[in-house]
Amino acid sequence: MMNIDMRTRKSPMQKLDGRTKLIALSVIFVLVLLFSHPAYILALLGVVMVIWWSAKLPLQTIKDLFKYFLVIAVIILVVQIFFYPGQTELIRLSNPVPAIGFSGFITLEGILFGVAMVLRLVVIMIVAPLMVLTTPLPELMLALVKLKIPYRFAFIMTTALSLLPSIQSHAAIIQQAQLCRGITYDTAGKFFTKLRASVALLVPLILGSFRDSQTLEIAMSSRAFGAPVKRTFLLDSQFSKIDYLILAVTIAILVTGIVLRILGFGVY
Amino acid sequence: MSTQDPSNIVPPAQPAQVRTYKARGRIFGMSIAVMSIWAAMYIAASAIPALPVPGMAGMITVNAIMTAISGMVLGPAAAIANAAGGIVSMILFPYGFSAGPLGFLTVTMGGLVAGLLFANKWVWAAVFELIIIGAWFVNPQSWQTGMWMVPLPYSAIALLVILVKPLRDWTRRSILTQHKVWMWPAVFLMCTVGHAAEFMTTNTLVNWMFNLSWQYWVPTLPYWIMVDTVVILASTIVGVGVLIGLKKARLPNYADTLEQ
Amino acid sequence: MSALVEFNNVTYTYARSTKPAIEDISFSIEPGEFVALIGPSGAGKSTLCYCFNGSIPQLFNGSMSGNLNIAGCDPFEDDIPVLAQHVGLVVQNARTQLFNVTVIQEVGFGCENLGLPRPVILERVKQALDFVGLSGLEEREPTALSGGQQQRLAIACVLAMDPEILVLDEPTSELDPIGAEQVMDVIARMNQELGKTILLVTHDMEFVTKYASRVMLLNDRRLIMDGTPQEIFSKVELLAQSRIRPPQVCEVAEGLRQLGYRLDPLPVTLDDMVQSLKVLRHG
Ligand SMILES: Nc1ncnc2c1ncn2[C@@H]1O[C@H](COP(=O)(O)OP(=O)(O)O)[C@@H](O)[C@H]1O
Ligand SMILES: [Mg+2]
Repeated sequence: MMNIDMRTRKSPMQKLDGRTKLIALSVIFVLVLLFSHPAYILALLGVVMVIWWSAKLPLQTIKDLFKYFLVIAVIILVVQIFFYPGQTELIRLSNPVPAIGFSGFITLEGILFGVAMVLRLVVIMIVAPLMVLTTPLPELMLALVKLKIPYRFAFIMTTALSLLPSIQSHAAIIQQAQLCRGITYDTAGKFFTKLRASVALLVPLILGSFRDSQTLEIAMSSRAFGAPVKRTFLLDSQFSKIDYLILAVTIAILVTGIVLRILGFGVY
Repeated sequence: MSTQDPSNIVPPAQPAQVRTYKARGRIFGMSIAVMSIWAAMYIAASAIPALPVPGMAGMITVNAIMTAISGMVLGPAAAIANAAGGIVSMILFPYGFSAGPLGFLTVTMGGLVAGLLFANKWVWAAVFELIIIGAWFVNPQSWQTGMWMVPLPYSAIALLVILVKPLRDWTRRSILTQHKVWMWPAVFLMCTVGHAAEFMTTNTLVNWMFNLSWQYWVPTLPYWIMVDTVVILASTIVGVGVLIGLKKARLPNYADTLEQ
Repeated sequence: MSALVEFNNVTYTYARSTKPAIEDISFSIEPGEFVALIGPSGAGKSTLCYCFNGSIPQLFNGSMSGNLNIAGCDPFEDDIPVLAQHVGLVVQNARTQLFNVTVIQEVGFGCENLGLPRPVILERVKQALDFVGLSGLEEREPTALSGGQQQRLAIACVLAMDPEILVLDEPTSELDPIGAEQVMDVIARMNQELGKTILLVTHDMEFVTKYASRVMLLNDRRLIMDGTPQEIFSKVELLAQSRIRPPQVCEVAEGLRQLGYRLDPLPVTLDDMVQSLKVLRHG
């Protein structure tokens, strides 16, 4: 878990309405999928980095994340460099190998496209954390509800998150008990050991947790959950001038992006 | 004071009227409480980082197992619970989601297709399964050499289970009656349906996002088949244990809803 | 004046159970009473509690007979949110009934669902937190509180909805003595200062004698005794059959009685005992 206490940080990003952030970041996500030209994606990455910097988030988080995505990044890069059907020959490696669809040389287009896809991966994977690192969960839920996501669905998400600590301590207790029977979890890398441990953990965890569902349901109902009236939200958030400004800019960028794409720009 | 105040005891004039009640406020037969708890377990499972690999269902191990069995435990509501858990985990622990912010779609599909099938809404299950497979082939990329093989190993089996009536009925019946022997292969098939829907959605998303060509997909196919088989086998063991345990302890599970 | 709560021959059977969980239960409760419900585990105490706000029969599959009247509502028909405005139900396990991210959201949850105006909710949340002694913790995570604080928080959550009746299912069973004492203090003050009607399920007989004006004993699905603490705790044998151990004071007093001391009414607290012995000695 990226343990960054949101309350201790005060940045311009945190003052924005949750909806603004959600919409803006979704637009970035859409744009990065829309374009496949490295220059365009690099520009988007620049925007994301500026947001990241203005939100005063640590760069370390991105580095940590990238560790997990390194394998995919390398695969993407290698596959595109060797197999992208480009024209501009840079390095000739061998004769064409039709069996594996390799032209025998590495092309400029292949490299650029590979770089574009890796950049796309980077943008995609840091966009979502950007949202949560700058928005306390209740605000995120409020934003979702205000954007017409059904309240019940948002409720499941928040409730799940607040039940998380008790589930985790439940799991820890099960694991403790299983340690005595020789089932370990920290033998890193050993796929089958991990798998066996998962199997041994899941059955008691699911059964034990479901046992609480009855009291949870009664407790929720006892506090008028699902009453057929318009619900009040204690937490409230209104668009400020800056929100409107950012939304306007975001939408302008989205429209421009779509137009550019239709005109054939930004595609590789 | 009395053991029961005699004046209070009025002998009923006729046998007391007994009314039977069905639980209210459920979505697809499941309570919001159960879905929240499932989602919470899902998030807890995501806290265990696993290496994401394109073509591999969202995450190896715990999450993949949970998705594969979710349909049998929760029915179609699994889609909602998985989606909620998936969205939160993807935001908190983005490590395992090779499809980025859309990663939650993969686990949603896994729960949805298997849940619909288990609820015997097989037409809908078929529709969503075909959408998943269709989305793979809509991408021109997928018409390259040998790419048609990628959905074959498990999505094709899933489609068979969904569409062939005797197979479908036998699978559902064996699980619902918790047949001592046949429950195992039946749960295996049901896990196949769930897992196949999940990883095929991942494949499709990754293919659209990163344009990986056949040189990646085709040679790695045997490897995926192996890994997915292991995941499905593990899911089968967990699934059988969970289903039997839930029934024994009278805990919420979708089979109950079907019986009512 | 009619009773606030009336049960008439209520029987409830969970789906797929062969035996009822509660059988032929009849009693009534007047406004302002403090009733303790005691009984061995599995007797059906929790099941009886769930009947108070319609959780039974509405949230379970099962069958039910009899008649119920809770503050003018019919739990068979009226929706739980309607009943929840009359009955605050605190279920057995404090941890599972806290599911919000902050304390203030937790306490406001019920009123939010009822659609009350924001200022009203904020005022009620403040009062409820004040009453249970948790003011100042508004922004904390409920899971980060101590067991006793969590239990008082759970009480605040239903108190904020301002019900006439509070039903508390074993609120102190998992607490240390100090935490339990604080929770019991809150419950007693709700009865005395706010005039709430209380139904308290507990295994702690000392609390029962100290606070309750009436005791109901549930054993093996049936209500077998209903009376004042003095009346109930003098039936040592009946209690023993139900695996209930009366307060030590009562055991001593009952022993003294059998030796020929005239202790009437039976002292149930230490103070009563001292008083009775003084009377015996001097008068
Ligand atoms: N959801 C349920 N389904 C079936 N039986 C139940 C359920 N909940 C409780 N019971 C049964 O009802 C009886 C009374 O339980 P309960 O009301 O919890 O007792 P107590 O609170 O006094 O310990 C027990 O025999 C228990 O097994
Ligand atoms: Mg109980």
